[in-house]
Amino acid sequence: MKRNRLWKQAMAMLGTAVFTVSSAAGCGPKPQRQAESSSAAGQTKTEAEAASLAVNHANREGLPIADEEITLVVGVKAPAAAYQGPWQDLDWVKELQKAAGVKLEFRVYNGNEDVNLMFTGRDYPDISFNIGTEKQIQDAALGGDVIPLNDLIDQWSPNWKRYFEEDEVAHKTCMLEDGRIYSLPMIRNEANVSGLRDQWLINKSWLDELGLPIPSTTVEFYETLKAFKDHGGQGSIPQNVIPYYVYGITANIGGALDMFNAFGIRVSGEKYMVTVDDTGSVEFNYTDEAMKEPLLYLRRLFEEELIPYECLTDDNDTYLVKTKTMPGIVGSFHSRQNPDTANEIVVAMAPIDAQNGKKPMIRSQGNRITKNFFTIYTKCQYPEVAMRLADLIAEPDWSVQAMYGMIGDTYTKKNEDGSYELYPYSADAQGAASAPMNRVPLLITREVADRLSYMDGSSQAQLATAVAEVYQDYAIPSVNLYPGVIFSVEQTDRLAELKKDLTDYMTNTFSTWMLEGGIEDGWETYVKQMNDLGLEEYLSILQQALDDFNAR
Amino acid sequence: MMTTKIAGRRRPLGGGSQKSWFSPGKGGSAGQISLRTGIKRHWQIYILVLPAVLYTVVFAYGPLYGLVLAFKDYRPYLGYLESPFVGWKHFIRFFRSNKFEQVIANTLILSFYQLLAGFPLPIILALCLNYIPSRPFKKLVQNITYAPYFVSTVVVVSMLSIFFSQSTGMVNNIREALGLGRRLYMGSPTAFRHMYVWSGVWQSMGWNSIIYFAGLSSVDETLHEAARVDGASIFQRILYVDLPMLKPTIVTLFILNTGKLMSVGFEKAYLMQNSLNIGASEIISTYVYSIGMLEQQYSYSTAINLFNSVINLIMVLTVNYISQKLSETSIW
Repeated sequence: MKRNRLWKQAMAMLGTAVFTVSSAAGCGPKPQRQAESSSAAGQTKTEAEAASLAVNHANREGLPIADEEITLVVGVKAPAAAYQGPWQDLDWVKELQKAAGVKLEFRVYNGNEDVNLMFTGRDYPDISFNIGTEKQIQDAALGGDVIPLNDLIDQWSPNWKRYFEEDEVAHKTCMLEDGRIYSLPMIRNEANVSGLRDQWLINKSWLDELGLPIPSTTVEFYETLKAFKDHGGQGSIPQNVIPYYVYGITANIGGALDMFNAFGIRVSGEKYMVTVDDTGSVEFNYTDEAMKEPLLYLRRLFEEELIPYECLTDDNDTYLVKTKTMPGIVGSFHSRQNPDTANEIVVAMAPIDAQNGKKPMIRSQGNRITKNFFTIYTKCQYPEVAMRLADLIAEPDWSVQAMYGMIGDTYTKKNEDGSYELYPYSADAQGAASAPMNRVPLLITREVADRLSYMDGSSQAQLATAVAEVYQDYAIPSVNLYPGVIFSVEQTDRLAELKKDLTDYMTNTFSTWMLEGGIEDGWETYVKQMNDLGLEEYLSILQQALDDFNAR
Repeated sequence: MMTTKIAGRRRPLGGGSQKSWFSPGKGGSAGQISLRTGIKRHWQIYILVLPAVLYTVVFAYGPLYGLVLAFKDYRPYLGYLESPFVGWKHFIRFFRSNKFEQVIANTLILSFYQLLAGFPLPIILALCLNYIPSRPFKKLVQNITYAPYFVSTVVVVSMLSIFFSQSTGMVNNIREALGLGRRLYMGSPTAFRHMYVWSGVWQSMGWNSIIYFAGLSSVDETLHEAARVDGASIFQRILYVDLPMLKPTIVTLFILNTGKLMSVGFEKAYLMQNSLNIGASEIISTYVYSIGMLEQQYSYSTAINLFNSVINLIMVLTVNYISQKLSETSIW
């Protein structure tokens, strides 16, 4: 009896398997074969069956996406912060599953090591959201482990199709060497997201108490900081006041890089720490003679204890605690978000002018396009459904809700004219309970971004106002930022080593100068050592990759 | 692995009686029976040892095939065997890299310092405790010295940065009270080494003394009595009774410790690392982490680690050989 039943079960399973393979348009369990044939087979099949209702369980249009409930295993990174909660508990995820008729089973990767193991062990989920470095996706594509998305986008994702047609740069950025797209990006075109990196913030209430204006030159800034220090313990200025806080010298977030830009030297703190000049050459201004001026200025601030030396060794948590505590103990600092969302005590100030004849600048960032946010692996039996899921997430409503919280919930309201109102929330708890935020393949185009309006008192409103009113004219234009080019495997390997050698040495030297001085004497040794460490090769690799990218 | 050859232990316990269950029985004497007969006769013992053997095979010898990565340009989609063979490329790259001398020197300095500071102290602690007459006091001291062992590295590093903070730290407060200036300890390469080593000593001294403490409690009491009768002071008893009895343990542990010289723990150095002390805190393991694991250069990091292990092995073998010649105590 028992044996008989087992046999029947086995046969049934085999039957299902055969059925699935045949109907999966080539997406069977054999990854190798499938990689070659999936797109081609998918095309002919969908053309033939255009009239029929569903292809491999994917309805041609409308909701739900799948004609019966199917399950997709989704690889995701663990929440970055405790307030974000587990993936499956997010309201957005629950609603998305309901609407799509697809069950999402999350496989959470806790760190880089976990993700490394997934790619080296080739033990993939069906699809993944915010997982995979350039190199990992590249390797997986070469191994035929991920499905090229071009045909799927054409047929199943009008949103992404339209977007890539309209945004040439995004399309180019997402293509791998063979000209195909293997992973969808996350697109965020909100004015306050792309653009500015850090605001330069200053404590306005202290200025008012001391009867000082917002400083506009390096001289005024120095005097303001000195006044903060001298008046420690008076009024609302605490005894242990930190006049100016920088989170290290070269850190991209919160570091002192905007001081260099204030002196008119264009520098970026993004991955490769390079910028692009107006003729399209890669530039690395950290070894420019002009750097001495801001370095000497900073050294003076350190020497007179207007910046505490501890800044050079603090960790990220300390930076956050010191700068985000309200009422503050810090006079001026760099941060993307103003902890004082009301914009009354701490306010944004324009980059100070060094009066050296150069126009001050402030850093911007090129994170409009974040690569590798939606990948379909060849083991996925329902690539069409997966692609439609990506298309659904790319719908304005779903993308906005993913980023800012569910409509009708605490934070987000949709008006009849299609615009969205975003209610204030504290700087960190962004739509916490309901939304995955920037961990899913959002598609917030400029057109959608223009429909967002931030309520007064929200940190976005503060940032948007600051960008519009203070920083617009100073921000480094995006053409001067090094774009998200594609490197060959050899280039990646070489860059990794060179970058570590160069930035370690540079940061160490700058920090030591801040602590001990010696900038004038040590400058030539520093420049020489940077050259010895391979600065030229580093820049030539970056230039080569940039030229190849531009030539696409 | 840790079979210390001490005279007298080779003979079967129980005075070599033929009836003992250790004995080979009819036809054959100890040491001559075949493995098969041995297993058949003493299968209980082999079963007892089996988990340890399996563990070693699966987790220590099994993964060794991965070492092939060091000689290949590993690509996950090609697998271990199919990836192109590149010979010594990754080793040469490491030897030629700008950081090679720095990381090797930092690693060696840190580990020798750690060995010199950390090795004798548990022995001294165990000897001192052994002569404390008050049992409750002894227990108290033991517990207090063991406790730090269970504090996680992350917490220890946070404690260090709080205690040594320039503006609010205890150490600097004391310095100021004494009229000395405040110093930025967390940013000093020399201070890094001291803080690294001595916080390690604080954490592990009590724990490492356990094994010596156990060794001391097994010292035959009659030896001490005889020494006392001869009028030996406590110091003399330590010197002539306790230390000779502890010698095999000390030597064995010393040899094992030299085998770890090149593999200084990664976590603590990485957590304590910052742009100012990187000149001292960049050691092999942190370098491998940031260049190999974060940038997915598996072959390169395997090569560096293999190089590491080979040096470690050479160290162990050398020290073992020397110790065998000098003291007749050795691991092999």
